[in-house]
Amino acid sequence: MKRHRRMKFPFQHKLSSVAVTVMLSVLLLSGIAEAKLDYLYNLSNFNGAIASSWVNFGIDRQQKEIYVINPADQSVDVFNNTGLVVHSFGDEGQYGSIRGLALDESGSIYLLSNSINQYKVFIADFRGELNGVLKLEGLSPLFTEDFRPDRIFCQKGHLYLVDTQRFKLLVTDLRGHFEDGFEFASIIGVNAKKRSDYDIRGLTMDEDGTMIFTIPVQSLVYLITPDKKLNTFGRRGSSPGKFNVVGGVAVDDKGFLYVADTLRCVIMVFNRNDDFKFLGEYGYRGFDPGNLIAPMEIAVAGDLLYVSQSASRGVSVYRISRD
Amino acid sequence: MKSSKILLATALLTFAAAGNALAFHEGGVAYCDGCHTMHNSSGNKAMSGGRNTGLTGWNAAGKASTTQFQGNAFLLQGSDDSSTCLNCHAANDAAPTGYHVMTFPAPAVNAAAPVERTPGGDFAWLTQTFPKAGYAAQSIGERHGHNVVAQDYGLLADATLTVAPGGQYDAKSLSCASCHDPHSRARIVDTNGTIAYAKPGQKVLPIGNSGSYGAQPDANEAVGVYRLLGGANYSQMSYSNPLPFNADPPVAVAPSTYNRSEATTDTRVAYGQGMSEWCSNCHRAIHNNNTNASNTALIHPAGNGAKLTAAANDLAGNATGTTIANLYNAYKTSGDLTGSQTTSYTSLVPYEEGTGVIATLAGHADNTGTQTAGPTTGSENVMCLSCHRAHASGFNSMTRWNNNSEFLTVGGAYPDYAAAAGTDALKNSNGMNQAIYQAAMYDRPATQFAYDQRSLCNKCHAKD
Repeated sequence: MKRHRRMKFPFQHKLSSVAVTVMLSVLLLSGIAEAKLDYLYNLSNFNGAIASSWVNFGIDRQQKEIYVINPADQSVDVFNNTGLVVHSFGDEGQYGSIRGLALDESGSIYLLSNSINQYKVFIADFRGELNGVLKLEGLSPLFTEDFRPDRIFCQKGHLYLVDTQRFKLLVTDLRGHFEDGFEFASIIGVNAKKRSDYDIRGLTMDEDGTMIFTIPVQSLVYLITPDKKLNTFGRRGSSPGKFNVVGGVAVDDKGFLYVADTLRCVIMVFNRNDDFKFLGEYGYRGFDPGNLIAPMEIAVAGDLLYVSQSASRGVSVYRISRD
Repeated sequence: MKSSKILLATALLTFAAAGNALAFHEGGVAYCDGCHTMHNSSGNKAMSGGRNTGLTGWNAAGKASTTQFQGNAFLLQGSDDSSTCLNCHAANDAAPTGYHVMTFPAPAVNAAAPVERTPGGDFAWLTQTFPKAGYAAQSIGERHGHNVVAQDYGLLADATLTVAPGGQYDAKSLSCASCHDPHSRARIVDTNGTIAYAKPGQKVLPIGNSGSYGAQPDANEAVGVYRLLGGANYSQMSYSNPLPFNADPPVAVAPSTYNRSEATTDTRVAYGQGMSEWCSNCHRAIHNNNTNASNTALIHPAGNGAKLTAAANDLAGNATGTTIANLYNAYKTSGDLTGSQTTSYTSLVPYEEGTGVIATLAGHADNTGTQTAGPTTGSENVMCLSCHRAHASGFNSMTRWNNNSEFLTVGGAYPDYAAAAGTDALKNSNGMNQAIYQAAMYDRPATQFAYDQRSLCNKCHAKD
């Protein structure tokens, strides 16, 4: 029988036993953190799975409902946590071109409507009926001129509006009063001469207001904290855990980060609390249930992960199993 | 010690710069697994998952494997050539963005317009079939551009023009790679725009940068050709063109930000030479390179020889009393011929400058509104893109403006499908709501045109 050699920790003689114990504990704890995805179903109505391509999402964390914004017809469909549509609104065009949607804790819906020339944030009730237009007040010149947000988030009583073209983040309260805002082009080192190498694809916001986004040409995920500290991770390539054409990104409250690769047709899972350790990838290109075709936007609500795809493949739903 | 610090600083700077040099094409062939899978295996699982060969209009030729170690045709990771490209070049954008050439998903007809504004146009116009309105028949999406086949993005083969007009190229095989060589070997090797190719027995400079934005080759490195367009003898792996390419790619320079609204200033691509000759690689019988002096070749001239110095009616009784260039410079809008050469350029009717000198073209490529001069050297010529967009537009035959009715504006406003029945606004709308029409004009306000503006053919011909 082959005997296992006892591993000797490098520089062990220079470390206290307490320090070694702490380090091993951290390694051990990080080693057991896992998140796996199992395909459940596609979002459906009573006639079956709904065909759609590259829709956007909004999440009602309290009700664990997913709001699906279909840019093709400007409608919003609301799905319960069994993947069935329970309500629809917006298809009469009253909100214009809806780009994003966020909900506050009271259930009010904030709809970001953005055309090339202007933007508005509509406020709707839980039925999707118009209550008014958010009046943004106290904005600095950074946001009164040349600001066209295309993403909206709501976390802990704050609204976040992001202009991915001009790399600007605006934070207001729920009444639209300015709270904070900054340009982040310099933070991520945008090269003005190669501006198109910095096109943001996926973008999400965690509960603490950290903005997380992907830039495919850079093959990186960027994280910018509210105090403007930058972290990045990712490696270009086509083997597991690497980014080929990186797309949507989502985060859960357990410290896991999910990244779509549009070309490789996978959803990768990373452990944010363990230096973005790669934990596995799921989906793969194909037409069988659970396979993906050009995944783009992704969202997490509770223990469900939602993935929008091209080729009218609709939204695939996966259960997240965490250990 | 001092020199070692400098060396260290230089090394760090080099490393930092290298960290940013991650653009994909950079004027030539990108890294291989950006598009291909070598073994159709990653993490011991299949990477390419076949394609839907039952789709209408789909070219079913080629292998469509879902089996590990048996990849798709050409080892592509996407369903097909164009779907692979559109994984990066299509986007669900709110505004024109970067290198995106297709709004995806395409908007519902007349609810919103495709948003990309590249000079070539947004492929989503191919999905926009506008209803019959007034004078014009239904404006079918298929007629709005080059119908590249991209299964994952809902783009199907042209069902009407089944081969390239003027040529024999099979519409079912039309893809991004029909025009753009994804492995582009063509390169510009000197500052005069000379194009060379890597081929057995010949040594040429390596491609070090994109050649689309004015970068110049030097003694050590070449730059790529404009938009990676296929060069002479370009032969696709996925389709063998019965008329092999015989023309070099054109020489042109675009401003680095080119996908943008033209509501306030034009996006001026400085076209140099060779565009129409290159288009004729597929549309050979359409091409007429020379001015029609002998009145024998009765098709519109376009090409390096079709100079804007050609004689034109001076509108004062002399059939050959002026030149096309002079009319171009004088024309402002319908009825208004008070323009001057220094401000006469419009990107709705661009022309080639008749030169391959990169620096000259780079000096004219602009999006700030400072390069507004019209033709002046005598070497300028009309080209296919003077009237057509390369990808797609909102109008039939992928023209830059509507040629289906008399007026581009009616009473100082763009036409409108939502206008009352029987009105000129409706009759001239091409089935498009006003906002969609304006988007198809790259967001220009109607006030840039005459109160009742007629076809922009008149920019050169001044018949209005």
